[in-house]
Amino acid sequence: MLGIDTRRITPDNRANREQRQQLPVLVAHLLILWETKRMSIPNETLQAMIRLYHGFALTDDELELVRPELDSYLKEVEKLRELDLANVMSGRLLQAQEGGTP
Amino acid sequence: MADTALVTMTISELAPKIKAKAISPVELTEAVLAQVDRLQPTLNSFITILHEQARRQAREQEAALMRGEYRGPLHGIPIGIKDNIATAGIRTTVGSKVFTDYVPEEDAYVVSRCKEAGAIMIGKENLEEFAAGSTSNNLHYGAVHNPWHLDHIPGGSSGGGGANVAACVTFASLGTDLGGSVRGPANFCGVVGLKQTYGRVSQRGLLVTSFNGDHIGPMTRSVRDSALMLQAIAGYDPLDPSTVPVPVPNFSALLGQDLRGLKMGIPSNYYFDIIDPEVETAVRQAISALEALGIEAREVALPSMQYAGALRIAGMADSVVTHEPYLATHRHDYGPTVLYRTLAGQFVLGRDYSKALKVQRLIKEEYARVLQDVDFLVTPAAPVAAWRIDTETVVLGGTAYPVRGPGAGMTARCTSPSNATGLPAMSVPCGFTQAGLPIGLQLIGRPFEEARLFQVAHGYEAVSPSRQRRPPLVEA
Repeated sequence: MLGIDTRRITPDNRANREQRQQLPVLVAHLLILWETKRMSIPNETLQAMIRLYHGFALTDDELELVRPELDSYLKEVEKLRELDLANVMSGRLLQAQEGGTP
Repeated sequence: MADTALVTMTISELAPKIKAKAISPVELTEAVLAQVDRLQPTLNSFITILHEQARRQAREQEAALMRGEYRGPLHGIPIGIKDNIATAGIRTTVGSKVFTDYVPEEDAYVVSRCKEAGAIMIGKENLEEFAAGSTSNNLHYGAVHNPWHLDHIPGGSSGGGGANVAACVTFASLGTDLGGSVRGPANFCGVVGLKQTYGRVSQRGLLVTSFNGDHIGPMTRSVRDSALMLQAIAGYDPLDPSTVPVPVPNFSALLGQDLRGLKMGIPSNYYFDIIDPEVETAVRQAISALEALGIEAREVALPSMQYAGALRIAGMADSVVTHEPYLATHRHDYGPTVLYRTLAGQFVLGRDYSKALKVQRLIKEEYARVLQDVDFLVTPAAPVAAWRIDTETVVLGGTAYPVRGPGAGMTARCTSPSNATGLPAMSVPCGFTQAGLPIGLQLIGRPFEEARLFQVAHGYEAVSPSRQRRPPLVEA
């Protein structure tokens, strides 16, 4: 068990500064990210993600090389913040019309 | 010495002559191999050239013809295969060092279908490393050059195929298209590129690909040839769950039919938002030409496209999963561009991946709604014409956009939405820049209505300013 607080982040249950210091570094940094809408994730957070989730190791120099793609990802995520996707069904295949055309 | 008269013909011109035994597959293959040998040092469009196998296949096809076993329009036609499509007994590198010695035991489904149709495989064509990019400037196998301007890119990732078809080295090439990798090179090289409906053609044997949105499609020198190629490779494959069991129609059935009464949608947002003025002018002129052919133009809005950038999120996550086994064992064999672009995907959160799939669904539904009011959409195939091989950024409207490596999404912004929707889309040449670089028009149709796209594209092709134009090096 990693002891990660999985409660939904809302104004009512948002962790205060003291609580945050006791959380794993990954969650703390993500909270900071969400709260301040920062468009970049600190290297320590990325290194923690790699370590905790058995990712591919990257040096700090290499992290700078993935950063443009990562920043672009965060920018796109930010655009989705106000978009309600709760009731959108996911789907991959097109529904083919039997018989097709012509 | 290549026989220019032979190599510049189209498949549909050659087929009746081969059937009538007026042109021999052996003679045709020798003419093509001469063109290959003359232009490979200039274009670098192949990774592996199959001289002896092509000659053997040509002899076999000629013998079959003599026995009265005509196999259809591809009988005796030399074609190229992108080097991420498996070919039994022939190395398939995926443009990478990781697969440099990989020899598949089985042909990809589409390769089998082309062989059954009598096509002759000339070689495995150069591409971007792991088909991940739009320049075909390959770190391991060298840059492919655009036949119209040798210091410019041919587009990617199927750049070898685009260059070969334009330079009359092959009559058709099979490429793969995950974000525009068939339509992009077709656009930049001034040929016809098709990404048919997702599920129309089997992806079995397409190597190191994504779970979501990859397609194998043809590049040809005419719309009619594109229909012939699709006819050969389309169909349900029980071993590929992505294929859809729908009937395969005659894709040439509507060619030459009147276009009057059709309706085309011109997107009022997204596709023309970031565009080079020369490209926009050419595409708008093409739209006017389509109107002159009797097609009604309607402006259509696609508001969900403001979220189109999110589609890349799913691609990032898919990519790192696809590459996982190779990154674990051969990380040092990756070029830095692909390596670091891929590794960024390991940071994508599951929540965001799910959101990306839902955005994909939103966009898909929006296109479906729009295509109830119009028969097809018309857009540019790319925001810019081919840039120089050594270019890192392109400036449009005062903004610099990366065209290589991380953040290079601008290059595929017109093509990649159709990979997400799965809708059929094709690039058709519609003119040239003042510098003499090709410009392409993109037509996007309803699911499984490729025949309609061919009808429109064929009608436009006859009036396009690109008709009958070839790169000068074809005949040099």
